[in-house]
Amino acid sequence: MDFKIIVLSYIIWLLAVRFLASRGLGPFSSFAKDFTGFLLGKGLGPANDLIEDRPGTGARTWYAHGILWFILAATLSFTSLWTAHEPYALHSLGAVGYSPTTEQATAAVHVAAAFGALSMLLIASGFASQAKLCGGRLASESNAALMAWAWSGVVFVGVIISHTDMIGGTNWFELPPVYYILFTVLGLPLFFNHLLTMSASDSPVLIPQWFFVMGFAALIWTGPATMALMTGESEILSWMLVKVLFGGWLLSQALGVAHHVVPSALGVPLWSRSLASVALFGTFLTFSPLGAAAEVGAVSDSLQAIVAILLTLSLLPIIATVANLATTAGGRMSESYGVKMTMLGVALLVPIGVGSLFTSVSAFGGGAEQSHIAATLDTLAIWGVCGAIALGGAHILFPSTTGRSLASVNKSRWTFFLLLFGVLGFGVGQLIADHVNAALGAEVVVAALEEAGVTPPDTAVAVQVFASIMFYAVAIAGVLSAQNMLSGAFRGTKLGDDTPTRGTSPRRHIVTGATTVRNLLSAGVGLDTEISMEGGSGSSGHISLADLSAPEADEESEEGEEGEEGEDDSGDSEEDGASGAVLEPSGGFSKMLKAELVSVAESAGLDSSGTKADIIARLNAA
Amino acid sequence: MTELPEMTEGGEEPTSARVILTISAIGALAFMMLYSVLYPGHPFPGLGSVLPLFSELGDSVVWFFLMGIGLGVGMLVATLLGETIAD
Repeated sequence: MDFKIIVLSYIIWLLAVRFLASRGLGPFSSFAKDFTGFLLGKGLGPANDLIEDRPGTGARTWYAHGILWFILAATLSFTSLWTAHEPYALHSLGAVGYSPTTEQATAAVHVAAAFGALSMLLIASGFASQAKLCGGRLASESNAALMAWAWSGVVFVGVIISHTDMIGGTNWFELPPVYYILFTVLGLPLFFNHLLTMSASDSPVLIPQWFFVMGFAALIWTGPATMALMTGESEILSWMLVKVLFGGWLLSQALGVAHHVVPSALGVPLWSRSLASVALFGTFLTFSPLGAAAEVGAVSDSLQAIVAILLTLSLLPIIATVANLATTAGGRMSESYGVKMTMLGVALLVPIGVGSLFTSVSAFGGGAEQSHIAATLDTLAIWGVCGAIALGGAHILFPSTTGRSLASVNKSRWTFFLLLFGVLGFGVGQLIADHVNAALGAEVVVAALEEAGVTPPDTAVAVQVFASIMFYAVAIAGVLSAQNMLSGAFRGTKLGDDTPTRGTSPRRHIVTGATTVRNLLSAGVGLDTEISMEGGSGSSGHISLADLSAPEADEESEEGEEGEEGEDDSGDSEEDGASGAVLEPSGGFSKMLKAELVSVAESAGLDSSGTKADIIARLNAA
Repeated sequence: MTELPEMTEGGEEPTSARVILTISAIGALAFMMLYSVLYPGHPFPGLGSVLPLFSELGDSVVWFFLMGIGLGVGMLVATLLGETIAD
């Protein structure tokens, strides 16, 4: 099939979805909404009644399936890596019929990781995020939950098929093309669920929501494209499908989750809307460098140049995302391990993206000079980028679907460090082994060594063992996450009475006296909430958060206080001093050093002499 | 003016889990060092060599790792069953 037709069909489809999703269907909108809502709710007949249509049900089911696939896929990846240097390590399993070839094991890993673990976790986070941004629930929670079971079943079938002779030799799309169409079929109700949820909300559509919707549009496009693949083998179409799977689907969902959870968990606004828009459009309108193992044979120079330019341009959304989210997180990343995991994945985008770029460019019509590291880069893209963001998103958003916090911060910490060292250790070790193997495997080198009668040392094997063991940490990170989520769902601290999700931000919020932006955010104030200052300060109406200090200053001046300093901090301390109250720190006065207590007592106008106990007694009495 | 002490001692202790984990890690490292000194050039014994019950699995070390994942998944199932019954 002609490359231009393939690309144009993809671009036109995405633009059409963007246009229709933002403008609606005109006079048919109401009918389309009602009809789609009916299909989602009643289309599956009695099956829909199997699951309660309660808020959070859909995302929770996707999380449950996704985290189990994460463990299984990571285990399969680990055994694949191990058997690469010790081929007969699992030979004994042949007794129970499990003796896959290298190609079969790789195909199983691809299906379980890309469609099972990552897709399911990212879809779960997408649903949880969408629900939080649109009033607390999806259009049809029960349909979303049912689709999770169906999706999981299709992945299971795929893993089974991977262990048969039905797999082909194509990079990444090893299974029969008809199999991948099933994901498009299952993606349709999920896509409409997102759209209906957004249409039912009055809130403006934010960047993460567009990532989710457009990502599903890209996934749906792969269905007809794969049908075209069934009419005849097309190297370019296969290559394009891999790029859409990585960039249009997995990366877009991951970026959508990252753009939501980082500002949301830290309680800060996303730094730049422009950079977020660049990330959104760039992700879909360029070829993702991820998916570096896909190769295309000889093509024309002009086509090679166009693809190279579009691949290089894909660094723009990557850099925009990293810059935007890193600035958003700033120095507050340490406040949440979920954010740390997400930012780990975002940060890894740059080195893995650049490495994959060079590999992809040489693999499209070139000599594929970097093909020896392509599989490692893809593994890093899956587990290092998408895996880290998927786990980070799960750590932050899963509690909102259950109404309870995760069970243990300690487990979250361990998960983060296992993921960090697992991914980095595997990446460094495996890349070294790849280069050593490629160097020693070159024809010239082999001939020279044979001629000299020299046997090369098995250094690469030792490094591969190290890389495999390091990757094992990723599998254990999945196990710990699953335990944390499972225990949290039963015994975590309740988030609040109106759980599982917070509603939309209030239209109006009244402030009395001094406040902070943190207090406003924790009170549920949104960007479009109208903030009113009580007391007729004249500042009522839609004001910016930065102007909140003005009414306080006005009040002070009205009370006739002289020597106004106009600073929030000084205003607060004056108020404290006037009332004589001393705020006790969270750890209590007893945790403070004596010098600090003396300073606090003096600033409060109290006697600072005597022992620590004496000073604490005076401070408590104040 | 009361003199401040040069240093103070706290009463906190590390959690038992962390102590056991550290000792286990050091123990495993010590075993590997000892084995490589006593049997230089020999591969580490696999699960099948240590436990005759698993002798059919062969001598690969990978089974220790898979056993770890198996234990983790087992704990998951146990937690799920326990919490469901408790509910």
